[in-house]
Amino acid sequence: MGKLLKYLKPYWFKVSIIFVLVSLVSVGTLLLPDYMSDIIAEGISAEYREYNPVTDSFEIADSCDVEANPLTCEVNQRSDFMVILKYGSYMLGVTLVSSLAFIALMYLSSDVGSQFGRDIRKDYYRKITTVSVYETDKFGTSTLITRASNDVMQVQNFMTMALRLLLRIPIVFIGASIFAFQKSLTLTIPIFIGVPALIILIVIVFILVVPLFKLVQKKIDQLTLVTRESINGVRVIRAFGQGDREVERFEETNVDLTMVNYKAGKIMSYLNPIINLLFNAVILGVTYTAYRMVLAGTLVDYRGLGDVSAIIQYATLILFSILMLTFTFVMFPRAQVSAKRIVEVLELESSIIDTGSKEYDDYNFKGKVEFKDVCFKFPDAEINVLDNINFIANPGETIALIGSTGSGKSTVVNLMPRFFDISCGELLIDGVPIKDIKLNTLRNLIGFVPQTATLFSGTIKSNIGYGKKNATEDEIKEAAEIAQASGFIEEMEEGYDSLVEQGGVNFSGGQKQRLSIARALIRKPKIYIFDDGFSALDFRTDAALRSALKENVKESTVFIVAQRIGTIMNADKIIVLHEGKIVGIGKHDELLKTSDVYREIALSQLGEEEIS
Amino acid sequence: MKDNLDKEQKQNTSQKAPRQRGHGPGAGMPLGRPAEKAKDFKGTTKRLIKYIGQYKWQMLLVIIVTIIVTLLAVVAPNYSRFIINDLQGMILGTITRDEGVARITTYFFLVLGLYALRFIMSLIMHLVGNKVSIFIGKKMRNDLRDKLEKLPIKYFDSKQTGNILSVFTNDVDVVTNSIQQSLINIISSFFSIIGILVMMFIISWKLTIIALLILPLFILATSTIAKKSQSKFIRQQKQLGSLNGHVEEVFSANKIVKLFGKEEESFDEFQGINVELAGDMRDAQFLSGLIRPIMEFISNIGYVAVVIVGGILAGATNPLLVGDITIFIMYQRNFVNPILNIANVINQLQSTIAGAERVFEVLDEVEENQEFSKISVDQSRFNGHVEFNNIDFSYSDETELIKNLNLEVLPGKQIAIVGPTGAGKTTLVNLLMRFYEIKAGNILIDGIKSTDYPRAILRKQFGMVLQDTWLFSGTIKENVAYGKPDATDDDIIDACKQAHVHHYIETLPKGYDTVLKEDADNISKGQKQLLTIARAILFDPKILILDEATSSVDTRTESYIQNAMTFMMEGKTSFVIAHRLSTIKKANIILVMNQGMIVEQGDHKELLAKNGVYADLYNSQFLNQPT
Repeated sequence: MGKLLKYLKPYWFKVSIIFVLVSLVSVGTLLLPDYMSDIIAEGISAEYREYNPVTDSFEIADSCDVEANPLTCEVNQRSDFMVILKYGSYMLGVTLVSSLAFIALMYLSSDVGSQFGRDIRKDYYRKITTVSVYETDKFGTSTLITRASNDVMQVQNFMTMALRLLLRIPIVFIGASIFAFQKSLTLTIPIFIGVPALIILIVIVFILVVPLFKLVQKKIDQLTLVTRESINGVRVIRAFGQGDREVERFEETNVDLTMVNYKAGKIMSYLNPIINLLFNAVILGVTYTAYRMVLAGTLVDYRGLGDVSAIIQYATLILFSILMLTFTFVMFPRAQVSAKRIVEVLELESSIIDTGSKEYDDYNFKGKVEFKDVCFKFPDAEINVLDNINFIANPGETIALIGSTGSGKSTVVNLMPRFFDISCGELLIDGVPIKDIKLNTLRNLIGFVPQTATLFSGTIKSNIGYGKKNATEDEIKEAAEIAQASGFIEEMEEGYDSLVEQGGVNFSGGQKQRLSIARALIRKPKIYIFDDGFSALDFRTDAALRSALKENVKESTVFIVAQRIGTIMNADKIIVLHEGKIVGIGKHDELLKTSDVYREIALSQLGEEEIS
Repeated sequence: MKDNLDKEQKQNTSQKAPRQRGHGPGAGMPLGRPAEKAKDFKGTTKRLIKYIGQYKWQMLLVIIVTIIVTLLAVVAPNYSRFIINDLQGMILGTITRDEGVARITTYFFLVLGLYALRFIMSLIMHLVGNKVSIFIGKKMRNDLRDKLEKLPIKYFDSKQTGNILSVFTNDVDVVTNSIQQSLINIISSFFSIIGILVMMFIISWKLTIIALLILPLFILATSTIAKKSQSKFIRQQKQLGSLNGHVEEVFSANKIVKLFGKEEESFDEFQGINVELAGDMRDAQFLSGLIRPIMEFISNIGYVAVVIVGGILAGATNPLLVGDITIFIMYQRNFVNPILNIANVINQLQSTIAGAERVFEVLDEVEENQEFSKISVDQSRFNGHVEFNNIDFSYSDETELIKNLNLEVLPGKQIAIVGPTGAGKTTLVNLLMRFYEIKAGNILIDGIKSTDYPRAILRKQFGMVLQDTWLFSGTIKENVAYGKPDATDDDIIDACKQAHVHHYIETLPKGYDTVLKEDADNISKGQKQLLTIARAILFDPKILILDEATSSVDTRTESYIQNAMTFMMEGKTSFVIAHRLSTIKKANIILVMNQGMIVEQGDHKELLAKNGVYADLYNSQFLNQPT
């Protein structure tokens, strides 16, 4: 949380006004009982009258002992309208000022809170779009999204609440104590027995209940796990006829959860009644003390009675501020966790630094790619994922990469747009080390089609046009044509203007992939990379697409990473990777003879007859 | 398995986005923010009451005790009033010291007694309430779970796991918490209002009228603000939705954004939404926050009015005493809270009922039709003869998927199913296992209609090894023996040996007792596949259903898996979703599927001779000559 406080800095002026306002509101709360006690003390008075036998009437006297002379003494309560009006208007004034301050406080705290959240979100978003994909992949998309929405919200809410409450609690606590002290030290004794008692009580309950709540959370997770397993595995469970067993497993977990929940709830059940009892006991204690004081003759007038009335109200304020503090403490850990999760992202440092110079911005690249003794390991790994990678890809050539999962074929192509930086060796495009080219310029050279096609919400047109600013209709159509997408697009009612939903859910995997290929094609890049980018296509479309590519992309360098032998058989160069090393480069026929790994892969997919 | 769904189903599932819960910021201050609306508030409430009927006596107890507790809380301060009044009397000398001491002592004991009683009663209230709500939660979860067991696979295919889970946890929680808290809250608030009103009247009807004068003002102000802030919250929620949508889209497409150099553009777009959201948030927060100061202001005006009028009345002929004023003020301050409380609870009840609605929705789902087994089966005599007769099937009524499918598979034969992704290959699995029921025609297994078998018996004849390897969190041993819980250790080890996974298991520190974590990500995908093969081998079914896909497995494990599968298939009728040419060519029958239809069937040679889709596919894949 501390690290996020700097986001308050631009609003320091507003924050300090907030503090002033909080103080005003708190003082207002404290003043009202004080004035009320003044009204009782000064506005109301006793009027004694003593029987004067001479005039045969009751006359006003300074004092008269009614108890001793009930027949000759009379006492009446008088109220002084002017005094009451005076203090009454004070109270009205205080109320007005503190309410206005309160309203202003609400506005400013909402304002600062929402801007605090806005600024965090802004930096967070910036961070995600600037750090390298490697860093964000370490987290995973779903948690990054939750952090941006829920966690920021959590922190922002806490901040808004803290601005409104946090300062108010100590002011009210200390202020009320001082006011109460001033009125009567004796009368406050019950309060200062009650305060530690309340604190001890809260601490005890927390000690008892916090581990239980943690256990509850664990049991809920367990229950969720068991339920999720039986939902996701429903086919297997039914196939094996194990439904009853799964239900039993669930019920056991449910009993566990219920018992822990019950126990925690039982302890919590004591909290409320005890706190109530304590509040009442303190107030009763004040009253009792007052009673003792009356008996002892130290509380003798309306001033004293006013004090009792005020101190009872202060007692409530004091005890209540402790409860509020507890609530804040309960909320804090949650906000703290969220803050930590946000800071974790904000503190990411990109492993990719744009070191390029402008000199290549307008350079006429041809697309010749050269790997010279390239090795690569992930930033915090020890073992190289790639070793000794050497090859040259010339414009017009199709280079295929094949190998089993984990062989590093995908990593090789991800080095080119600098999603990762090579750890040793040289990676050159037209003889220029790619680090010398500005990231933007470099990536502009490349048309990349990833395995999972991601579309943006919009239209088909906007999705294909994403690849090129101000793309014309013809360019879009042409790209779609080559990508074998024009067929299904034209079949749709609205053609190129058909809506694409978020994530492209209204398209099949193959359609999405073709659109994503079209998006890369429209850039007419010097280097094409299909990172398993044909995987969702059926065999026929795959083949048609490849032949269309061959015709249309004659001058570019094309990299194809694939699982299917059929997809790459006709490549100009096939690079066979195994455990991060190149174990064979050549054409299909050569590799069948020279590379064991290649033959193994080919055999497993094709069978003896087809290969020969 | 969900990833493996056929295209048809995917289109069905694609339309349902994960449910958005409208929990805005600052939960716990529900007034002024829109509650989730229940569809049928009345009906669901009635049903909920009926559902918790078995706890009606405990509920009644809670209600009665709550009323007592509330009334005690209202009455007790009245005695404090008497005490303060008597103190005043003693000071002024209107009552004698002895009289005062006697009366005050009595009051003290009375108040103490009342507080003690209140303490005990409220303890009972909370304890019983806690118990009832927690056990209702337990029952609800068990009922939900039992229900799941009776639902057809279709239900699971059409719902997102997360949404089902959220009913089990969130919705049940909301409902049970509310049963305890909202109930106590609303009853005690209601009786507080009445009780306090009565007490105030007893102390001074004139002051009460003064105090009540502010009430309409109060209600008017809060409801106006609440309405205003609700509309702001709706706007904020909308804006938040579009922000989240944007974030989700861009974060998932992070790589693409970077590749196409669109960082600035998407940042600008984001910041546009972000700034607007911040403005909406401020307004919503401010307006909902406004309720408190305004409430306090109005209440304070009432307070001041009461103090002034009270002070004046103190000088009247029938004077108000200090105790009267002090305690009246206390009552007056406590009067507004229950009103706000009721407003809050009503808001809360909306989401409770909406939660209950979702629980009942699950409980109301159409169950798999009951079956009345018409035959007794001697399981050992199965031999795996499968016949499809004039099968019609579709997932939805609109589109026809399989029409008039006929196929006979002799015991021990192999059927390869080929076709592009999403062609409907798993549909056949669904039908064979009776995960889905066919629309017309019938499947005969050993000459008996598959619908005539009890589902459990039928399914036991099949062994499935699918691409999506489902293992549950438990030991390896338990997982392998999943279909045959009474298997001996030797049986298990034998099965694992046959599946070529024994050696691997032995290398694990805890061997067969290794606990697989959730989704079993502590072992590799290939090993998982081998474990599911071992599981199927141990189960020893008559008919096998295999998905050959091994795309994410390294070549070596792949060959293990292939060997294990080949071994397993010997002498068994097997349906193989085939990816390898070697499997396809060896198959006795090849079914070529496309867009959910079986477009061709026959053996390799026949199909090639036909020169149709299969030949096309075969040529384009294997000979690499696009047509």
